[in-house]
Amino acid sequence: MTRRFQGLNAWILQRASAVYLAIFFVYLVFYFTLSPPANFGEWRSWVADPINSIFIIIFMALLIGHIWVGLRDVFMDYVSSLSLRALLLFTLAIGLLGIGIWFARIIILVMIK
Amino acid sequence: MKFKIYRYNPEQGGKPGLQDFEIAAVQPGMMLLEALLKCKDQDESLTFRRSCGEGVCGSDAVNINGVNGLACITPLADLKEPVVIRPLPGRPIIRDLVVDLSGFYQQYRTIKPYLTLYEPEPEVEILQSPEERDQLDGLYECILCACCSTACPSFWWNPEKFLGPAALLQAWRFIADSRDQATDERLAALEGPYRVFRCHTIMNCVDVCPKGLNPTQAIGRIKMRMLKQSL
Repeated sequence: MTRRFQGLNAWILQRASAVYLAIFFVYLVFYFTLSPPANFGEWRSWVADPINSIFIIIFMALLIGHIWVGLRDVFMDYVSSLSLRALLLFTLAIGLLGIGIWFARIIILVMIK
Repeated sequence: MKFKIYRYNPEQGGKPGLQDFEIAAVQPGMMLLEALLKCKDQDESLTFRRSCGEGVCGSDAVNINGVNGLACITPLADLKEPVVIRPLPGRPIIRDLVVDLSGFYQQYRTIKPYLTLYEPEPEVEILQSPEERDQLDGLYECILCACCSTACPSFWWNPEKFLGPAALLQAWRFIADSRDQATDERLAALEGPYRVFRCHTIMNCVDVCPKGLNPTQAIGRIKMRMLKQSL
């Protein structure tokens, strides 16, 4: 990871993702309250719609990036032991990577079928 | 009027603690510094810094009822009793209310707080338009009393790596100065996860600044300038 990513770029990622997450979250709230999917098949076809799935994938990617920057900030502030911090960051990275792959798998499977 | 003042003398050992003082003759308009001097009359071993007595030098910054401020411009009438006076938080204590600010000054030094010219120095003064001069308002007034940086949680956690609000306000003061020619170097020197970006806009600095300055805004402007430069 370059030095630039850790300062300015991490900050930009945090701010930009926050805007997208906020807008998309409001959209999801409206979707689920105004026209919630009636059954699993409808829900599945909504996700499989290419436009929706693209926005969902962007949402998930930015959410993972946002969690990474935010929790990294917390660890940098509050965990002064370098080895413990490295362990926490490593665990977080593995966890987020796992969630990302799992999520991508779900979306891809829905889109294929 | 009752006071509880932090006492600690590392040379004599012992535990730090609060000592009670009581001042009988409190006159209207009296400032906290005068009360501290009267406490020192009662116990001359009480130690604190002070100099000008009118909020210009920034020597007598202390933690007053949990909030950093200058004793000399804090009216006693505004304070709740007993007034608890502690040293500035997060810094090593030398004695009583005197803290070691060398780390704070070191962070100030790293931002190179002086104009840098790469072109040959002109024969006359470098002129500024009134608008260019206005950019420095709210920045040059800082007296480096350390109220802001020692009130900043990010500075408590990472005092060696995060520059702190006072140094960053001055960093912006020189970035914003139309006469300075080292803007790119200054911005580059602030890159990285710690020096600027440990600021989470907590705004304690703005809350405590005895000169009414806004370091959080200056830090925001540094970030925006970095962003503009990177695009």
